[in-house]
Amino acid sequence: MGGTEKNCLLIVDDVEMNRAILSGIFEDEYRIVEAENGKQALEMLEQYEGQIAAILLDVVMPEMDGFGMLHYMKEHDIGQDVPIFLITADASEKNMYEGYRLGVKDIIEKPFIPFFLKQRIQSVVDLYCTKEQLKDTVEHQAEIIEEKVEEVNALSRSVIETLALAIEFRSGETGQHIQHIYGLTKRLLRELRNKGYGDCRGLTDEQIEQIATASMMHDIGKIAIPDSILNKPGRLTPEEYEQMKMHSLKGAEMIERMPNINGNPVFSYAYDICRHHHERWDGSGYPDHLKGEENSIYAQIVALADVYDALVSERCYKKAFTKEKAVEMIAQGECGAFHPSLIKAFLEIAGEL
Amino acid sequence: MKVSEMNQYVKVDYEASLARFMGREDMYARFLKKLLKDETFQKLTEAVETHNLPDIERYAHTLKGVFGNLGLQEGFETSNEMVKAVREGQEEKIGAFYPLLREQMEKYLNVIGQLD
Repeated sequence: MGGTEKNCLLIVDDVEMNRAILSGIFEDEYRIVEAENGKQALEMLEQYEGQIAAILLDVVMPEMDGFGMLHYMKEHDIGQDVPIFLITADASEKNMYEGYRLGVKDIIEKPFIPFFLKQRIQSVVDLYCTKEQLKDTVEHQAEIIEEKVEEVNALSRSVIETLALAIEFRSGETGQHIQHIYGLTKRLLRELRNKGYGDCRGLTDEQIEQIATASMMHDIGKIAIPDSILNKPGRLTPEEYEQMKMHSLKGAEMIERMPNINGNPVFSYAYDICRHHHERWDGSGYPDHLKGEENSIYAQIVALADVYDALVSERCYKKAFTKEKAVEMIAQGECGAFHPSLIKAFLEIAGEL
Repeated sequence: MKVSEMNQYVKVDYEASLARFMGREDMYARFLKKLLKDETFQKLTEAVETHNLPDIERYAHTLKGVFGNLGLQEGFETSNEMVKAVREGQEEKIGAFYPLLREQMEKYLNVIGQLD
């Protein structure tokens, strides 16, 4: 019988002799539960829930007959995973159609030959058992797969984080920046989704997680920028600045060369974010001088998060601004132009920063 | 008298019926004797007298099942005919089959009464 606890057989018949004959046939293999009509049988089904391997059901009975019981079970979604056998002295065509239509597995005419009856019932019960075991196995395996996917996601996130951290450490920073970008990107995405902003309206929590993870990679192109420029305390010369600006393209190039970029949505978001997190709403950004909604909302969000975090952090070339001052500067357009809806969402959450 | 000896008086499908009672003749006999106190035939009689067709169908059907299990073939066939007669709306047949069934029933009760 496998690992399941289904060892009861429910016999429903108003005639005692019929119940006695049936229980005589099955009493060695099953625990027999008897009912005299459909009503009693429903009570037994409730009382022995999850323990009944099969139901042997008579048709003509007082109180509630076999078909009445089948209708009730179907309507109330009771015992739909238990095979039911009609055992009837009236296996007319009409009854057989109705029985099968109501989901019974087999119809056995009285008087029956016990040996055949047993074979027919046992093979269906075995089938149900196997089906249930398979279901358990599949469910178990699905759980394992889910765990593994979690592990792989966690691993790829930490690899991405490590990569991003390495670049930050090189610029003498603590690693806080990428955490801030991650958090702020997530909040802005959620705010825009809640407000029903176009491209963010249909985002799932999983997609938001992927975009936020991708946001951590926005500056990985800086790995290709020489130390002398990256860590220069003073102002960059125009040539140095041009070289510094290359980090957007370099980052995108790195992502593009990653194997399996198409297999993981994080990398397509990362490509876009790396390349376009210095674009501006009015077209004054780089490298592609995208204007307005030519740039994706994701890259625009990371651009804003990047600017805000730079403002409130101390850098080798500047001191930290207060949060209030930073919010004010962004709102007044002192740090470049941003999408009006994005500014609005930013101001909504600015109080909680 | 033993169940196996009933065949001398009435037609009994002994082998198949004994198999239904898992080869236990005592159990077979016990359920045959239950027929002595069974009220189904009495209820059928009342239904015939009052022309209650649904009840005739129901009790004839119950008897059909009982006779079938007990291997009482003639009773099984007659009650089967009565069920069919009701379903097919041939009421005149009920009048013909009922006396036959009554006769068979009396014979059964008589023979079963002699069982050990």
